[in-house]
Amino acid sequence: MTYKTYDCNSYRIHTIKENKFKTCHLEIIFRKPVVKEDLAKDSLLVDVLTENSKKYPTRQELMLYLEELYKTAYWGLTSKAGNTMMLDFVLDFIDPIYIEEENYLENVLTLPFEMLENPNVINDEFDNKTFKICQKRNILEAKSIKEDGFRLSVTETLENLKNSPTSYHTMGTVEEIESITPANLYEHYKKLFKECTCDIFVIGSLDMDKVVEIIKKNFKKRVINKEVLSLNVDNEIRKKALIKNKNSEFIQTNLNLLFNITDLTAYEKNIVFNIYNYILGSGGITSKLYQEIREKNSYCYSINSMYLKYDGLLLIHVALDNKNKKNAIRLIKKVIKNMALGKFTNDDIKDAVDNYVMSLNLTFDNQVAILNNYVFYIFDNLPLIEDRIKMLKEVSYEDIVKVAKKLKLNTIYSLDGKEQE
Amino acid sequence: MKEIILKDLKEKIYEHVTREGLKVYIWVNDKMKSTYMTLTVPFGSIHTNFKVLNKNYKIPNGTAHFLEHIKFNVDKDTTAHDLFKKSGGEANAFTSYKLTSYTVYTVSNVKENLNILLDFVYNPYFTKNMVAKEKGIIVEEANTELDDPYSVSYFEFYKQIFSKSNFRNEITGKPVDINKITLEDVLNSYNAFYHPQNMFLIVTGNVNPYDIVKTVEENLEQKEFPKYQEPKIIKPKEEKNVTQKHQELNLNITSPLFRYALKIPKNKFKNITEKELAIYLYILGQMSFGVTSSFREMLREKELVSNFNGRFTIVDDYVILSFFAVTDYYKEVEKEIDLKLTNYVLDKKDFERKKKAEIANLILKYDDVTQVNEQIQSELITNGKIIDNMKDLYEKVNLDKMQEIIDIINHNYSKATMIVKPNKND
Repeated sequence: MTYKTYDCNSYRIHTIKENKFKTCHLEIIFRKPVVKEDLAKDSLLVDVLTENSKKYPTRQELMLYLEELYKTAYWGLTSKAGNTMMLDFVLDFIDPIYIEEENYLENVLTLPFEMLENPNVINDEFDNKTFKICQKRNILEAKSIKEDGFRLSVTETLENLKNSPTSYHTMGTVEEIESITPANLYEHYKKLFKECTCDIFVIGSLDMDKVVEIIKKNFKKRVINKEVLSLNVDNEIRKKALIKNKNSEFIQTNLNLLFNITDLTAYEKNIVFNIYNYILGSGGITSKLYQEIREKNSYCYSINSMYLKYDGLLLIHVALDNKNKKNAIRLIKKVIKNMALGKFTNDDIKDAVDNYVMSLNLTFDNQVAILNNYVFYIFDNLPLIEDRIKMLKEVSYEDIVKVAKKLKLNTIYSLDGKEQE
Repeated sequence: MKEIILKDLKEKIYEHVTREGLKVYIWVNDKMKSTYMTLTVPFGSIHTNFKVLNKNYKIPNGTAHFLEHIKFNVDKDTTAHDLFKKSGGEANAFTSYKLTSYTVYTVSNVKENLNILLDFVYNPYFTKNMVAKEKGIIVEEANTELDDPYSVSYFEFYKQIFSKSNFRNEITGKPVDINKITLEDVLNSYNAFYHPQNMFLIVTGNVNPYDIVKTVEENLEQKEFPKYQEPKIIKPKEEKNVTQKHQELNLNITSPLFRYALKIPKNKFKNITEKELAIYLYILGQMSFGVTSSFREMLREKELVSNFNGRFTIVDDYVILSFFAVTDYYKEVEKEIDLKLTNYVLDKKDFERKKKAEIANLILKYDDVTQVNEQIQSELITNGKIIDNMKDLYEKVNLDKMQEIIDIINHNYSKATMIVKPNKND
């Protein structure tokens, strides 16, 4: 595997040459700070720009062309990593060595840039039909949060973090999406090239000099933007934890406990906390939370402990019968306290490290995971997998107790289910 | 050991049958770091009525899934997860309509992990206590499904299509079914189906196939298995017509849904194997209702749907053509579908393009240890063997036969429709 960066003035291309896959993967990532008022536009823009283009003005025409390119897939997504918004355009295509057509690589690599630079725009407005289809889809998606107890409860838990980027809906609210017009979305589109930093990542068994040549020929972004973006959100610590309940139509109660994680060093943030969380709850059925809530008490099918690294938060979610809620809260608090008291063994640490290392090793067989590792290596100085594995093996009992003491309860939020028989 | 050469795909699968009758399939890729192992029994949620040695057994819905859960107990104090944690294996399991599969990922200690997999699945340790304890956990899993309106409407729709077939029932069972399951049900199921002669092991990844076979042989040699009694599945005879033509539901959704299905007897399609039929129907579904189809584009252009898909599925003795739409205009969508089914247009260029793309996809499937494992598993469950000429089958797909198939499909078969509306208080 060979990693190389090409500085193209207004953007960078990062190539990862890896010959073990039959497909190749490309991501064009635009980044900017999170701005609440822009979130709905960011998501809708990505959707519109991948729906069709000037050259392929309907979805059907685009999909037929992608099929011509041997079922190449092209899609977009927006994600919020802490305080940074990422607008991501993704291309998956078959390795040219399996294709007999001479210009296949050039054709397939030209497509995303052609679509980005020549969208379906008439008189400085996005094509109204395309716009309406995408707007409706985004509205439905934003509304659909209410259909899923897990998503709804997590969204509402984070909404309590007033004025924090963590509390903003990644795709904006329904009202915000409804207020967008084809004209103001086009204005927003123009900012994409002016105000965002841009990085392109490619992985595959490709002649990377040729790849770079094709991209340079097709991508004419001219504005140099090298703003240093900070991913981290500083979420305020509450003097007293917020406790909130709300009735719902769901059968199960969706219970969330949200904790601030205070003052982590880079080593703790990237390495130690992952091991702590593995022992606590992300390590599956043998983790402390699973053992206590599921195995000993049969209260739930699964319990998740999610490390929101760039938000400095830990979120524990469990779906259960409402009658078991109080006990579950007591037990979760007990598990958190026991971790801070060091009530875990060296065997627990060894198992967590071994299994975490194994899951990192598994990522070597997945090109998207390899690429993502480089994305955060570039954006956040996250050590590469090999270096992280070495560091993980050095994590001590004291390191974990130290981070376990850095948790502070922020919110207990419960979306209560209906009484069960 | 037999080698199955997948013609034109430049791939090879090793096949071996152990003395105890366990079929072992191995695909080697030495560029990968990981190995994926699955031990599978063709016993799933639809198998609730069976016969062993002239004795009939009727078990509650959800028993196969329940058995999968408690199978992980090794003894009173140990679960298979405790053992895999020590050996660096990431273990899981799943139950579907037709099978139960125990899975392990690993990047090291393949032999040790394989031994643990065989040991825990072939360890008949079940107690009343573990059955009682697991009920609470599985009821919560079933409740999670019942809180998902798409899952609820899917199974309600299948209940509308099928009157007898167990495809109408939830894989986990409903809470009321789960609470009925007894230790005896679990034991009867385990004893009937969990025998090496009725199971297969698939190992995909960076392994030496001879080492795998040696490990399996040595492991099974240490175990005693009773004589395999070949359980006979008692399959209910499904009615030709749907159970209920139309149904309206109110669920916790934010936009109305429309479901539409035609129940076509499989025997209408003559002179074709099930695999060939599946390929033809897949291509036809893609051409007629998929993302590249003019029909889908027309529905979007007219702003009748904001989401739409249509596909064929072979379910036992029936071909189900089903549609799903997010729409406020279900009557118009239904009319358009009915019209489309009397008015297929075969586009030769589109047909050839789809064939070409699918053939390219066949090559791509052999790129990932999980996908290859699932592909082998699916072929064994559906066809009872690995199909070594898949590329040939795709290349032989032709317009004349496609036209014959199209001539059979129209909207006069038994039809079911469902409308799902948001709850009134939303």
